[in-house]
Amino acid sequence: MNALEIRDLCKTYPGFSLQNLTLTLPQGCIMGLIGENGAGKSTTIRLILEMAQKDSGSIRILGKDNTENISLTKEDVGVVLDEVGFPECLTAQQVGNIMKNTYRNWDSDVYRKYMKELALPENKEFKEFSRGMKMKLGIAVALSHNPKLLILDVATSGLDPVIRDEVLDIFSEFTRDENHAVLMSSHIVSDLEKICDYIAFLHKGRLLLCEEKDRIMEEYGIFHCSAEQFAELDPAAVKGKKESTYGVEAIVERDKVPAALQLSPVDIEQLFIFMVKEDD
Amino acid sequence: MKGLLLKDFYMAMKYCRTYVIIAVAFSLLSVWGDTSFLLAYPVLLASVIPVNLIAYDEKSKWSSYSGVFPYSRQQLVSVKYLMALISLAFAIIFVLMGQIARMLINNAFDVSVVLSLVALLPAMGILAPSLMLPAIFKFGAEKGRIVFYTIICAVCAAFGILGAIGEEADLTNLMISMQSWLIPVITSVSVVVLAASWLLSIRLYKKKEI
Repeated sequence: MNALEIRDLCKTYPGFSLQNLTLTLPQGCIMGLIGENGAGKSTTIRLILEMAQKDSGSIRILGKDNTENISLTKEDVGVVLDEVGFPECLTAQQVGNIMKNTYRNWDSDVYRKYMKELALPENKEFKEFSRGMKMKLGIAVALSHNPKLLILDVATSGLDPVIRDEVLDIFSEFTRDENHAVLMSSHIVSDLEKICDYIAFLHKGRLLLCEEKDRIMEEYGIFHCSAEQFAELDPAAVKGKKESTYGVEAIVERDKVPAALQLSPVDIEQLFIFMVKEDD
Repeated sequence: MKGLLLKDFYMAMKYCRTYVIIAVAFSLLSVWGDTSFLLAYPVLLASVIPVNLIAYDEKSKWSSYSGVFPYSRQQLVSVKYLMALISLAFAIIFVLMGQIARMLINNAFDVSVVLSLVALLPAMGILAPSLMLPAIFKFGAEKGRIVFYTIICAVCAAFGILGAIGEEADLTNLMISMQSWLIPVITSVSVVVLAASWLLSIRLYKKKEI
């Protein structure tokens, strides 16, 4: 069973349109959703959670259509949005009490464990939390009800590098259980590169790419060349290019260029930037 | 639903203490005072509590964040109606205690007045949230408040008109003179209005993007 299946998802707002988004997240995997601001990452996540209504297409979460009793499905889904919106007067302890009466599988011991691990104060009001602390509380809540799927929208932003690394380890550890999966959007591509099995690029509401991370690494390479050498390449092999007075940097599909060409390995961030610029 | 209720309870304890103090103060004043304002004001204040809670929810982004938890839209709406009823029940208890104390002190205990209060005060208290909440669930707390102020103005205008045409606008006297058949009618109408408002709010909120 796939943790998440999105088919031909469309949603139009004035000035923005999510077009025929199709992606599949298998269980036991982490998928990174990369896109610039306004690319459609948060819209996709809001549509998955039925916080907004899709125009067309289908979404299945843990095998269930998201229009059928989504509240029940959400029992198995842990979510952290880019803004953790607990009421400002609540303390982490009160949030725990509320969640205990919200989730059927709420585990107070696990919550206390994460509170300790993430150094969260129990009795400080939420309004006094820093952005990083707010995100950490959101993460602790999302992980404390035995979820099968984690949906994280820019959840690591605002965290210092040490905590971010710890949190990434927690997410990685989470998918050791083959019934678990994570969909994670972030602007910090290095985070996604570190832990993701699948990478999806969203740009202006369109999916530019969705592939296994290792395959991307194998499939693409960077060709540093002169303008004349670039002109000799098969245009179908070129995914993106950057021209300067020193020459051309092009991301190419390894299979579509002569094997003798010297290609440097590509990283996800470079590939994304090149593909977006090519698309524009 | 229990989680949502607990959340609103925590928020009410933090943000709405002043309302409780005012309700208690007005109830105490009504023991010696004899004006419809002392009866009506705590009830009107109580009816504002769910609206204020929604405003705080919006400010903290809870209105949107609640969408990540296993709450249905129906539950998110219903909890505010439940809070309205609970706040109203407390306000009415305070008012009744004040009125009963007043009648006992004056050796004028009249069970029909108590029954009239029990019928009329919930009806009066239910009216404001019943009219406001659908507008707030549709447009948000800020715009929804305009509806509330319109209602307050309409109520004040009604009292003003009654006064102007020489009618006795005092609620207590009005209740004493109320026909016994009118009590169940008022209660029934207020229940219908509340139910219609609740269903409308659920319908509106289900369509809303949060």
